[in-house]
Amino acid sequence: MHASSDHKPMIICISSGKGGVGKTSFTVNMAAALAQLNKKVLLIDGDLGLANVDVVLGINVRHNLRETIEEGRDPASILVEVPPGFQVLPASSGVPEMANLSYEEQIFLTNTLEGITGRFDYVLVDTAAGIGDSVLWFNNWAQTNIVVLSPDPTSMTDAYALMKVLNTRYDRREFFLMVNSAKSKKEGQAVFDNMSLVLGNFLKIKPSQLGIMPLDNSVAQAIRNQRPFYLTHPESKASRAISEMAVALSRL
Amino acid sequence: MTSMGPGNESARFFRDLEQRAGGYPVRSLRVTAPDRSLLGLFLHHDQAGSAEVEAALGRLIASLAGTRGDANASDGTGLVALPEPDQIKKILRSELDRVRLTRLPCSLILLEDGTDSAARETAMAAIKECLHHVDILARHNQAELAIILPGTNLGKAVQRAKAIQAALERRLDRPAAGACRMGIALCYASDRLDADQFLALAEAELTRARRPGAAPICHVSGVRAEDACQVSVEERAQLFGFLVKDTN
Repeated sequence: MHASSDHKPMIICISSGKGGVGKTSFTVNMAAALAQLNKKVLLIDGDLGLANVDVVLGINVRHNLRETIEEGRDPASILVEVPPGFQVLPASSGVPEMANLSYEEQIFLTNTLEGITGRFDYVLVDTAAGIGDSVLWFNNWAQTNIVVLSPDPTSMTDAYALMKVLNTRYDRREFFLMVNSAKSKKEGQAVFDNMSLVLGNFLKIKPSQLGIMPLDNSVAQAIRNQRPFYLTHPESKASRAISEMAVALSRL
Repeated sequence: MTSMGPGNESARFFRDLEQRAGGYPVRSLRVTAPDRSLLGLFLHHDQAGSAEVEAALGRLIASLAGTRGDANASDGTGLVALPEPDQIKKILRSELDRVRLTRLPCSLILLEDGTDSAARETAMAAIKECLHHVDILARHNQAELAIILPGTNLGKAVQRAKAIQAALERRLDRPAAGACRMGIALCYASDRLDADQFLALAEAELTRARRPGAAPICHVSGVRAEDACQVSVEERAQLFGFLVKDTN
């Protein structure tokens, strides 16, 4: 598939509120799955101060978004292509200033990113944890918001808090929930149903269910091997779940 | 269009200009040579009339000139001339459009201009030293100034207001008791305020700040904007209710 220059990509922001719930792993594998569906995919590492998409993918990057923001480097020149054929826009790690971009830098980044996203079908943004400025900004920049949560009270609280801020302050009303690390489909469904109930009761919004990712040893193994499990363990339960979610996203 | 010769200095200049353009109602287009070197920037605005574009570009260039040691854009006092009261609603409309577009908040400070003409220059210099270069200082009416703070939430706007107050006290050698009164309003995309409503909110806060015994800096929306997002006890109870049932 070839995206034309005036083509509008679907920009999808993946956040969680709490860190360590599998957001980056999910995003990287979703990018791989969409690429295997012959979609042109750009994965932006939106954790501007503590980037780790490159770590999960096992790639060494020489240039990153920091140079675009601080030195005006063309973002197209820092894109890295990774198997099975998607592009990564890496960010910097260990640079606190990048996690707190000024208003002008945020606007500059928007204009810059919009200059390169037109050639893609899907732009996935893996944000930082928390509800900092850059997280909120990326969520507002995207058309579609995916919130990753796990059956853990802290994860549920933080995911809910993130959606509450986005809804209350920024009027975002549509969220796709992805329940990760579910011991069973039943548990994952219960987490989604309950979150849906609370969002309906207090915020009057009804989230959509993107999918449930089961606990799967191949996920941790793939992270240690710095490869997407979707490629190393294509028959795993987690890979099958990612496949289903990629198909669901491609039908939106 | 603006252009400069090659070299690192010009690249920095263009990047600076490009970044600053983000804070004004203009958009920038890069003009590059076949070897991809940057020849210049074309700045334009597709929503506003030519007078507004001219004013915005003037402010943009003036702000850049200010940090480059170029006094051409100043009004002779070392300060860029302020937009007049009839322009403030136009500027606010433009900034509120930007709030809707970017979903970044905007704050508005109204402050008393209680200085006489002799002290005015000093007061203006004190205010200017606290502003960021995307901030817009304008005259609201004969007795009040307005400061528009694009991309600034309430907490940062209050910090800015306190810094201005401290600078005024220091420069004018004025005791804290005579502190300049300020009213602050805040607009998020979800508020859908128009320029009149935004100004009215700030005016109401300034009126509140002028009451005897009131804090010199009053602000609107504090409770709504900052605390309304907090997850309540009731919400937490429902979030975990089903987990408790599972373990029982």
